[in-house]
Amino acid sequence: MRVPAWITALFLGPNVLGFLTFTLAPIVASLVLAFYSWDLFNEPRFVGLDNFHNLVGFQAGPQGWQATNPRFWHYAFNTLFLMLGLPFSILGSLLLACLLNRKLYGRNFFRLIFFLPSIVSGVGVYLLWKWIFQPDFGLINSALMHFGVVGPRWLEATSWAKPALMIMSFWGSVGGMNVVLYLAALQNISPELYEAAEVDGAKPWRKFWHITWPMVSPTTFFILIMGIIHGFQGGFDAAYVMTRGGPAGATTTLSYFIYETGFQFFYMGRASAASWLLFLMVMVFTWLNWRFASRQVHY
Amino acid sequence: MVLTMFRQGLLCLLLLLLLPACRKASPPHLVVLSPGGAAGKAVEQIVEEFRRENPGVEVQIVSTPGRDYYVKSLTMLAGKAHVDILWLGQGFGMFAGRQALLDLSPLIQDDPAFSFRHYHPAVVDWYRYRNALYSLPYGIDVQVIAYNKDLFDAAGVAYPTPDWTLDEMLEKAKALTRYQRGRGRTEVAGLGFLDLDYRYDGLSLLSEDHTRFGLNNEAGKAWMNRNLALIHRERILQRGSDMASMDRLSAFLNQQVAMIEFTPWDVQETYHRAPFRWDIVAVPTGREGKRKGWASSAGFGIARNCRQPRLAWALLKELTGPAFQRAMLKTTIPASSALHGEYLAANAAPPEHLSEFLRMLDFMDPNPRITAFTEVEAEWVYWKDLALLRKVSVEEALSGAESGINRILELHRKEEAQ
Repeated sequence: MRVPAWITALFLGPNVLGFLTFTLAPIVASLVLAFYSWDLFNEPRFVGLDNFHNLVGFQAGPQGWQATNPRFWHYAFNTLFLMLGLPFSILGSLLLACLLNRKLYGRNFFRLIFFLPSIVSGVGVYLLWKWIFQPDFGLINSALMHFGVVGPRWLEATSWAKPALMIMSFWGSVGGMNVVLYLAALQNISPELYEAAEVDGAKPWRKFWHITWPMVSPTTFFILIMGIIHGFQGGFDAAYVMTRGGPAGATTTLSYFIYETGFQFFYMGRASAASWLLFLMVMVFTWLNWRFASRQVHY
Repeated sequence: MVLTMFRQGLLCLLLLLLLPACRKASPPHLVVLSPGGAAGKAVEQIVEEFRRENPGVEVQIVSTPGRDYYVKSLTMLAGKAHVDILWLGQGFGMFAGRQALLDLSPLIQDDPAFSFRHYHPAVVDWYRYRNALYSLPYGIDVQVIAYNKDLFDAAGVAYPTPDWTLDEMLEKAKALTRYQRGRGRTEVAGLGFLDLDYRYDGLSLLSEDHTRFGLNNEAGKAWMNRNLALIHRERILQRGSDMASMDRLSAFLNQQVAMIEFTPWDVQETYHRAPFRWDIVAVPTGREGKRKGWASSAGFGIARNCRQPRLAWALLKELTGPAFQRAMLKTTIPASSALHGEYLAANAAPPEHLSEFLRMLDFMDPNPRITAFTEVEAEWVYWKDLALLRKVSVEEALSGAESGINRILELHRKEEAQ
């Protein structure tokens, strides 16, 4: 039976309407706003490329050319720096998945335990880690003090705040969805490949490097791409709850900067411009990944 | 058949959706934005009385406790949400500069019963913006120094006197500081400040006309260098890093700091929680012989898009009048000088010298109430922290702050001129 077109439209309508209203229209509006000055109260005013110049431009100063907004570059650096934990997180997930893929006693319990960080409330986790990193009576420094070691001031020191967030992020991402993806990939590898390798006398490391690693490479590639995208977009919630971007902007990422610009200082145009710059960065890095990393993927 | 039922169902749904629009006209309705806490409780009390006196009027209180009060309020006003009256403090400039508030002058002129005698004249002026009066204050907050008498006695240091100087404060702080070299930490810091306020040196963050940064000069450099020495060499100042994990008052209550900058809203908590003897004293006289202390005020204003200004004005008078000021006696200094005696009586000792707060009313130096102050402050804190944490040189920090802050002020000037 052929379904009348209007019924099809009726069922598709809410979704399409929702997409147009809540996704496409804001995206287009933010692109337009990037060229306007708007504080939510007064009429938007066309300013051309001023918002972009205010973010990534340079101007002549007494000491030569200087960035118009050095803070933007600082925060872009922070965002990239925090992504340095990604390879460790990917390797950790793969290692954990390999362990959980074995027929160990209590395997399902461990799978549940390692997946827990992904399902607990983010704010609760951040508050917990804030206590763990507390310099005077937090878990880490108290433990270090037992061995006579004075721990760093973690979230309060410009040099330690980013590593502290990377440790927390490693804990959160190593056992979550990435392990599930790797587990699925590992279970798809034909046991015959390992059996053939064993017949040829291959040691565990050889089997891992020549069979497991190439066979899970599509999953690794997917996790890498998603990790980079999330890395660029991330950092807001942790900074908001734990550090408010401090100390001295050490934990402010681009997403937190966009929030601050838009909703603390009410520069909607500049926040939109920053969002589009962030989108450009994500696009360039994703393209670079496709261009270079995809060569290492074995389908 | 199925199709007909489907169409009929759709029609019923549509009618149901339209029903709320058919209700009868609602009674007068006011919405008050409150920051919660002690002020929130006082608002509830006054609104309850207002409801009794105006039985036909509905008043809704929207409470937003915490640091996001201004962001939420501004967003609500920008979104044309129903807001009639709102609490305002240091963030007043953000609202007035964006013309989000109603000028109260015409309402005051039309109200013969209203008198300014309940309000401190200088503080009323903080709520003026371009010849319009946008709010009325109910309370004044000033800064004094609170000190732990037990720590002073243990270190054999004499208590501060009302006429003490900045140098005396630093000497006392030095004698009170106990640094454990082996553990690399300060057991007791003389001063629990984030940094030594530039006001003590007679300096201001912005120029007098609020058009440019005011600290990139020799005096500013000297101020920054002194802070660096106090933090890293003499370890008298408990630097921000040590304060971030513990708020200023907790560090004082835990006896980790001997002196802190103290405001009227700290009195009750310290009174109930301090396990030691303590008192307060006015901020010291600066090196130029002048005394200047941070000050602020809280009050209420009417939203520009208020639907019933006269009704809102009636409630605003109650929310800033003597009854409200009395309800806030344990949190802030009343804006009416006639109530200062009641303020002193309402707060039992300690502190023994509560009147030091009132003395500071003559030395008030509020933050500039400009539209971009939040942003200016963020830029300043960023550069100042980089310098005080020794990530950039003092010259770099002051130059960076000057460039950033002047850019912000310039941008806002252009925006306002448009």
